[in-house]
Parts: sequence; C-alpha cells; structure tokens
Amino acid sequence: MNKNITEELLNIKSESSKLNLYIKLQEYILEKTTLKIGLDKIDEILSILEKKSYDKTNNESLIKELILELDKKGISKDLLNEQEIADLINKHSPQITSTKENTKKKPKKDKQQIEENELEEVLYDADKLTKEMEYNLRRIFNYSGYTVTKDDTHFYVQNKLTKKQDKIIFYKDFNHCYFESNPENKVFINISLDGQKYGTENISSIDGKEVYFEEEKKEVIIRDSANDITYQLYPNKNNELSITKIKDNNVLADNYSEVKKEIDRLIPGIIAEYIKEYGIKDLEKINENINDKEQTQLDKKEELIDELNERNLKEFNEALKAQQEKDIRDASMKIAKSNTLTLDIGD
Amino acid sequence: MSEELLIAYNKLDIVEKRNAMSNELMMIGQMLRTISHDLNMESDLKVKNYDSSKENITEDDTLTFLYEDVYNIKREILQIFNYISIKKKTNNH
Repeated sequence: MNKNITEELLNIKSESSKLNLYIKLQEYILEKTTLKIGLDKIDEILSILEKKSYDKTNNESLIKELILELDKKGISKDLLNEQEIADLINKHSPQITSTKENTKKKPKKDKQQIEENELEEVLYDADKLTKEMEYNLRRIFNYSGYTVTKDDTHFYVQNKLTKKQDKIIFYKDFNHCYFESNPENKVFINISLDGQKYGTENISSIDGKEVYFEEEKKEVIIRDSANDITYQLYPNKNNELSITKIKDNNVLADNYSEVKKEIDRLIPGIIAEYIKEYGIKDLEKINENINDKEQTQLDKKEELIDELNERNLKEFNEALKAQQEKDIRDASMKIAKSNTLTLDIGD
Repeated sequence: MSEELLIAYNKLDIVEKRNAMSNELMMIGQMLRTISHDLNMESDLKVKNYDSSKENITEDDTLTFLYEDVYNIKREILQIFNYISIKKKTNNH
C-alpha cells in the first residue's frame, strides 16, 4: 500500500474527517481492483459491509484495521476473502451491535450532519490558512478579476471592472468558499492544507470562467465556458508573451492585439497581472515603446527642419530686400542717365 | 540677380520656393495692370496667389499652376507692346 495513504488514513482523527476516511478507503480499494483485486471482490467487500449494517461514521477502528491488514499482508487475489472480512467485522461486532438499532436511520442523519459540518461556514483561521494558502487564494481571485483585502475576520473581494464589493465566506474544509451575495456560486479553491504548490488542478470557477495555473511552466489557461473558447497564456523561449486561442479544438490564428483585448474583457487586468507576476515581456508594449521613440525622433527631426527652413527663409528675405534696394538704386541711375541723355539731345 | 540671392533662394524648401515665385509673379501682374490702367487699356489679368498651406501640391500641379499665370502675363505684355507700337506709329504720322 502506498505508505503516504496509509499514514494519512491512520492519522485522521477529527470527526469531520471520518467521511473522508471512508471515501479514501473506497478509493484505495478501487485503485487496487485494476491491479490485483477484481471488481467482484470489491462488490463482495462492500456487500459484506452493507450486510453488517456497516456504519461508516462510527467504525473508524474497523476501517483502520482493514487497512492495516491489507498493508500487512500485501495485496493478492486471494487475500481478502469473505471470511477474513467477516472475521474482522465480527471482531468489532459489539460496537456495531450497539449502534444497530439506529443504523437504519442514523447513517443518513450522520451523513447529513457531516456534510453540514463540512459546509459549515467559518471565519478564516490564521493558523489553518497559511501564508502560502492565502497567497494562492489571493492569486485565484486576482487572476479572476478581483482585488482581495482582509480584516481580522473576513476576506473581501472587489470586482475590478464593476467595483462591486463582496465578502468571501469559507467552508470548513477551506477548499470551497462563496461570495456572501451569491451563495449559489461556489468557488472551488482547492488550496491544500499542507500548503502544497499550485498545479494544473487548481481551478477557480467564477462567473462561468475558469482559470488554471501551471506554476512550473508559467502558464495560465482561461476557459470561457459560455463561448466554448480556451485561451492559453505562456512565455516563448525569449520570455515574451504568447497567446493561443482555441475553439472547438482548433487553434485560431486571430489578431494578437484583438485576442489580448478579448481576454481583458473576459477577466479585466489578467494579462497585466500575468506579465507582472511572471516577469514576462509584452512585445506589443516593447513595439509601442519603439514606435514612441521613433516618433519622438521624427518629431525632433521635423523640428530641426522647421528651424532650418525658418533660418533659410529669413536669409532669403534679407537677400531679396538687399537685391530690391540695389534694383531701385540701379533703376534710379538708369533713369538719371536717360534724363541726362535726353537733355543732351534736347540741348 | 545677385549671387547671394540665388544661393539663398536655392536653400529654400520647395514650399517657400513656390511662395517666392508666386510673389514675383503677383508683383509683375500688379505692375502690368497699373501700366495698362495708365495707358487707358482694359486689363483682365489675374495672377493666382499660391497657398503655402497646400503642401501636398505636386510638381506637376505647380507647373500647370504657374504656366497659366506666366502665359497670361506674356499676353498682357504683348497687348501693352502692341498698344505702344501702334501709338508710336500714330504719333510719327
């Protein structure tokens, strides 16, 4: 048996975790069926458990023992026969008998109670909600277009686009939460209590949009369920922003700027956050800067040309004025000469 | 024309060159109209004012634009020339 699973199962103590224990046992058995125990064997086990009015909430010790037996003997086809399971269960029969009267009604009640406990809203607990979990939580909402703040008792979110504020209410398991204004819209946070790192399994589903993170590859996948479109943000080998848009399993070669705008409309600010978070270069921004620089240089050049033209025009006007003055002087002289000549002829 | 003026003109950009040319033509036109008036001749000479803001005007357009003015000026001069010649002949007789 996977040692981690065994340890995990054996270490579960809290009341609210009993349901998890049972589920994990089932998962474990089912996992093994594909290897060594046939499905019929699982059915057999479950059938015996049912026959014995197995009460999953009050038979923690039985389950633990089952697990230990499985672990000790190793898994083989013949290991868990009906007799062995029956023996194990019988060993615990007094406990079962003592609760037998209530077993027909109680399981449902207990299950309901457990679910209520699991889904009971709680204030966030600084000891349970580690810094890393809080960081993850903030990122989920940040990437989904919300600004996150907190006080001593609650987290608050503000929609970056609509500026609408809301309160986050956690469920006891800290894996789910909802907005106070909309309890129906549950958000699956899936932040692990042991502070495990993000993986692609981390999903936030808000307003019909899903955001997946892939920390290692610095990828973000955005799913717009309403339009059946998937966007993938990732850095290329030069750490520059690349975007892929997928619809009906086809990669669409749409205009880069338009796709960027589309994503920003879907989840406002997500690209800016993404670029900032992972230190990715936005080529469009770089090009804009280059264009700005080129434009500035062009403006400067134009200014210089204007200055030069102005100087040349001034120079020309001065030369023209001098020429005209000279022309007038020359004309006067010509007229004077002409008058003298006329006078001479006249004389 | 002095060398200085020619050099200064050469340094002008195309728009200012056209402006200077237009100014000279307008002045010629104005003088011819005055002469015609003094000689009691009717004159319909009009010289266009080149608008420097129309920077997009092509060289082709400019040549057409100027040719019309130059042609009209030449015609006005010819009329004045003919008028003076006729007057001279009349006076001699």
